[in-house]
Amino acid sequence: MTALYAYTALVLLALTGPIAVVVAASFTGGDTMGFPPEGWSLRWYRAFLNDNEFVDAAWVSVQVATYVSALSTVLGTAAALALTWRFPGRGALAAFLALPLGIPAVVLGLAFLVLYTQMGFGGTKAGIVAGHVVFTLPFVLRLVGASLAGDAGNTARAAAGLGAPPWRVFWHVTLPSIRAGVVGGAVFAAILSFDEVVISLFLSGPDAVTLPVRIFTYVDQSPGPVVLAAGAVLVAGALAVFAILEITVGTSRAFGLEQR
Amino acid sequence: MTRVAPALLMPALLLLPAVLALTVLFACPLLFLAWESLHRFSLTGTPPGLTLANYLRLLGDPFYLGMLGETFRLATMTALICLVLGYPVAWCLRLAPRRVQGWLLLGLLAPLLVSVVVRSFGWVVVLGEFGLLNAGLRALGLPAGRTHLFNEGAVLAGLVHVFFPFMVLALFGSLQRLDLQLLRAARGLGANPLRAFLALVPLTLPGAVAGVSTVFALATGSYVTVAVLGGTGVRVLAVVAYEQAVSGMNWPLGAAVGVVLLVATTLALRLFTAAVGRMYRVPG
Repeated sequence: MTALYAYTALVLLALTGPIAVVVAASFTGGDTMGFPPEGWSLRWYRAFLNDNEFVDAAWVSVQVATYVSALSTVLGTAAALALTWRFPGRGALAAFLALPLGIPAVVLGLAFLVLYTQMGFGGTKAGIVAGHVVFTLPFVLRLVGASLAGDAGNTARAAAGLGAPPWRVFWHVTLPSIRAGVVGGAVFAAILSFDEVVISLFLSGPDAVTLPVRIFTYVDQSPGPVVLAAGAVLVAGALAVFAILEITVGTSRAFGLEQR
Repeated sequence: MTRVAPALLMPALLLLPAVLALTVLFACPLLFLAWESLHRFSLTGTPPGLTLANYLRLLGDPFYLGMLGETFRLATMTALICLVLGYPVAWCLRLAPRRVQGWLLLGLLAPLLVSVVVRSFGWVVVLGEFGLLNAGLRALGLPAGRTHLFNEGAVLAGLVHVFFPFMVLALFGSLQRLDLQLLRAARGLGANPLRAFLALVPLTLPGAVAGVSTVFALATGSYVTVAVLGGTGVRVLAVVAYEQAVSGMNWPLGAAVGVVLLVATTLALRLFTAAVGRMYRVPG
């Protein structure tokens, strides 16, 4: 068992290693993407902040993640509530809503590029938001669905049976009991969108470049530690959102690993 | 009829936005992708008339067929390496006490919060010319100077790193359903610890199949990790699809590559699951 623990600790260390190395190397004083860093400095963070294209991209990423989170949470929560009812075609609809998870990101990106461009919103922020909602919605659906698996549905039906109008049932009974799932879904959707690169790459345009896309395309032109600083900003962003989740509802509860 | 309708009105209204959104934003683009792949390419707009030319070009050219083979080979190796490395980790998770389990899960899932771009760059910093590996080699007095990037090994390292958590989650899922009393029962019947453990291994097969399928599918569709770590040295279908559709503006050919990738991956996974299923049902 000790050997098993030692091995697992080693593997988990190897999983975090390359990420820690990016963050550490971003503080280098030298000009190369190397490790160990040649002296320490904040010069590449200054370079990041002085580069309008990086700053604009970070702002686009924040906007896109916010819209994606709001849209997929509303659509996904509504759908998850609907799926607590029994009706013909329920299984097929649930399968349809989960389908995007089974399609490779490259194929989704290609499909979005071809049709969204013809519909007139290829290369726009709206297009990226639409593309992201497609694959974040199933995650919200799953997380909210898991939080509904308890007796939330029965309580709601009981309240309705006692004469409460639907909006009161939702606001006073259902929503409080699935809060963790909804917040978890919203946070997870925001992080997924904030990190996403393949679909964004296919849908990006002159005014719609997200931070991961900017980092990825920058390397082709002139690789330098500034992309590491940008990467560290991405890590910090994801951690910040995650911290909000941990403080508000607790991670394990939001992901349905722990019932209250 | 009048009694049923109001009962179904509520779920219908709640489902409508999500179903409508995914129909317009997801199902239509996928169908349109297949339609686009049946056209000829022209810079002045897609000419009318359907053709299988793109598919004949892809499936008749050894250049593209080689890339399909390379895609599958890389994905298979990624899945198998993840399985071998992840199997003990999944068991550790299963056997650990609840408190420790929570921490281990956090350590396993936290890397998923970090963008694939950053996780791939981590390997640039490790394997690059000025990277950790060369620094280590130099410290040992071994020759170091060249970059270790832009080859299949670098891509494999990146892919395994990126998709590893999905493998462990799948394995852990099936291990959680496993009754550990079986282990004690086997011991009670006179099996030594190793034999008792080996007797349980077939019961973990569903998790292994699920993990291998998930990682395989994710790996065939990954573009960024391959592009960052493989450069021009590793050619897979995802890279061709991007180059044709975005850089070359050749949507029809790019679309055909996408369809081939999707169909081939789905087919390969079906065959794999069926094969394991048949093997598993053989009495013995």
